[in-house]
Amino acid sequence: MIFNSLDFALFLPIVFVLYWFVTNKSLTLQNILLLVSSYFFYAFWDPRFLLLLMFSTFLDYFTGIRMHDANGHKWRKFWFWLSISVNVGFLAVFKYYNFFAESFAGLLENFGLHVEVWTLQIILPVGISFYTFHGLSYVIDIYKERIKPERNFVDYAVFVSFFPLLVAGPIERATHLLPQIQKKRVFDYSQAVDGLRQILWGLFKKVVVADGCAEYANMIFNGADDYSGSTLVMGAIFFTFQIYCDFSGYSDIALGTARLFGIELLRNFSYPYFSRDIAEFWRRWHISLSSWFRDYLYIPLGGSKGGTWMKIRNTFIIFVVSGFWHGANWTFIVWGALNALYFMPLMLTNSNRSNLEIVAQGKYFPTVRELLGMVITFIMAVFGWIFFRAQDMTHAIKYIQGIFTDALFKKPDLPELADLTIFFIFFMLIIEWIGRENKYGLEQFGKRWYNPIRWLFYSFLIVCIIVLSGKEQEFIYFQF
Amino acid sequence: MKKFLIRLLIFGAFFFALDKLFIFVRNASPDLEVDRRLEMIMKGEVKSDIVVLGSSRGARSVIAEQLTDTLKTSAYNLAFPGSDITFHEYVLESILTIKGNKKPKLVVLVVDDSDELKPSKSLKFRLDRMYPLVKYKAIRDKMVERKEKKPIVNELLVLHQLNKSNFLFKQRKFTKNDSIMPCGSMPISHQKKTFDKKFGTEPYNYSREDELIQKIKAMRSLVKMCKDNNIQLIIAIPPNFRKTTIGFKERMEDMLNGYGLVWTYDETKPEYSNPDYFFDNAHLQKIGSIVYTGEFAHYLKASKILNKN
Repeated sequence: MIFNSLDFALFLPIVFVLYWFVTNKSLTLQNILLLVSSYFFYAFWDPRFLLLLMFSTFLDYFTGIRMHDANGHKWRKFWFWLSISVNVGFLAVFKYYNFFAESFAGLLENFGLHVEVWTLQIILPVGISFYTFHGLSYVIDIYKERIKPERNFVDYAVFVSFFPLLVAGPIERATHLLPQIQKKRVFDYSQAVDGLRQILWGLFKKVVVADGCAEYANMIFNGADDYSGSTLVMGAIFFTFQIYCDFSGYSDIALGTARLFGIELLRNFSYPYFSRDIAEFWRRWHISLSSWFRDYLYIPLGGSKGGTWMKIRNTFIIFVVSGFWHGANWTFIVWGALNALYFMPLMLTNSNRSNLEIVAQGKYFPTVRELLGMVITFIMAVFGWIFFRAQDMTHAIKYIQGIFTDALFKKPDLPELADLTIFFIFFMLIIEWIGRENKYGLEQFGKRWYNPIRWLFYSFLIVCIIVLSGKEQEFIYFQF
Repeated sequence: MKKFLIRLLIFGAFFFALDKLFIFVRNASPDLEVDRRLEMIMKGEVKSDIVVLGSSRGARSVIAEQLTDTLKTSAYNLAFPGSDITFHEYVLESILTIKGNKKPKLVVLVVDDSDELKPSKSLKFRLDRMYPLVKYKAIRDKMVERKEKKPIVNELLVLHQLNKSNFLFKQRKFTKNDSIMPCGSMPISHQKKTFDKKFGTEPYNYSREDELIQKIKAMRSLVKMCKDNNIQLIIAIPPNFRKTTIGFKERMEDMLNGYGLVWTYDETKPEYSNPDYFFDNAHLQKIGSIVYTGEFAHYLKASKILNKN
């Protein structure tokens, strides 16, 4: 089931009513309802992989308790590594096996050895990268004695499988989400209204901006040979907004939906395209994943302690692994490495934490310096997204070569209706610029307006969503 | 909670009322179109004995007016550039089911050698031609059938019936490549700049391997419709600026399954290997279309196929 579907539009109110009107007397019943509806939500996509999710959940629940109760370090270590190997093993089999097998065969081919590799004809279970990371952080935290294991299986299973975050995050931490699951929730009018508003904004970004951009990004990337340099630039820009509005739109819907049930999830995006340098960009893009890698990979590797060489090594590792997390393709690895390269000068000059506050805080417009920083960072991001979107490295290189031709300064060759999508990109950017000091773009927008005017504005957003929703388009991050 | 639900309900009612205002947008859309042929079908205004179906090759290669003049029988071209066989099937089905249209005596299906049953980037079910006409229930029903729209929501919300093209509010105009004659045909009187003018002499064998099942089904359904309604059917293969694909004609004959026939042009005619008669490698230009239509009309006259109904 996807958020931008009619099925979800029916599912959500039913669960909402059952949650607040039928099971509201008992926290246990509420959590059982959340678990059952989450499993239904997941099984709606493909019931076969529900067993995998259940197994992964049970494994981490069980090993977490055994690790905590173990007599002696040896057994703690055993349960810890059992959980880590199975979790990483699932990822390795379902997501990376074919990539490694084919890359290995390709390598041998270079030495004149031909090998027939056996590849798996399997589809990637949706959300596997997300729920595996939930489980991993939980097990690592218990091993490091940061938290105690959860002994109520339902509560733990809701932590892993809560439907708003199940398939594409945000990647939650036990310390943040579990206490909320264990505590009685009380309906809060303003929290629920805020949740609906965030869902509306998320749907707008997904259906109107991301899906609109996808049409032209796909057209241009798939037929890159036929387009002029300027059109290829537009294709990359369309994809830049597609991926942002697709994923941040998903996150807004997830956070808004969770709020309807009295639960606050971790923030995943904080206006990354208003960043003044690439370090700031990475503090604002897919925050739950970046912080996961920081806490569970970068810091254990030594972080920024140690010498310059250590810092460079660790930064490269975290960026490359982060790229590889997105998928088994060299394009993602290059995208990660490219971002590491972007990051290096800032790190080596100790200026990677120079833009911590919100850009142009309390002002309408940025300074010229801030604007220049934003434009340069945006161009760097657009260039990086070409690798992310390309089918393979050859496609990416040909695409970039195609940009730098005589036709770079010609008028882009776009269909007439692309103007409408460009209008909506600017519309979204203006709303997000105005709302950049808030949790999401629409949070305070129009709040002081006279009610009918505000309703008309919300209606305008809904009109755009309904009119521009064709066949339901899946979210990009479902494939990761 | 009570306050939340009441406000949600009021907003829902407000939006439901607002939605009905968009009926004006929906109903104004057809008037902004320049190609009114699909609307003619919806209005039940197709009254011709010969109907030409197909994609751009059908639209450009067969001049219906010339058929009318030669055969003294009304002919109309309902071929839509960029459309595939699933769309042609829909056009015929609409002619036969919508009240007011006359059942044709002969359907000429102009096929694409050799993409007719294969995946194609340029040929599709032309939903974009249908959106301006969503005021017609038959169009809305087809959208639902094709899972483009949701069944109940489509009845409840006018907005769900529309798409962004309904909001362009701009009168469409004929373009150099898409001008429509009163008979529905769309011949072109110039050549494509990128046309290399090299006649393809390499023999090319037709392969059934990557044929699409939905296209095969659509063609079979079109043949069945003709058979059930006692309509003569001719599959016409227009020239490409290369040799005809070996085995393509036989494949089309298979598809007919004994009903109707496949007609091919005379490959020896010098015009069909002369670049001056072509728009590009796949389409004739107007002087070529006149030759092709003349040859086809002559065949129809000689075979007396129209007298068989």
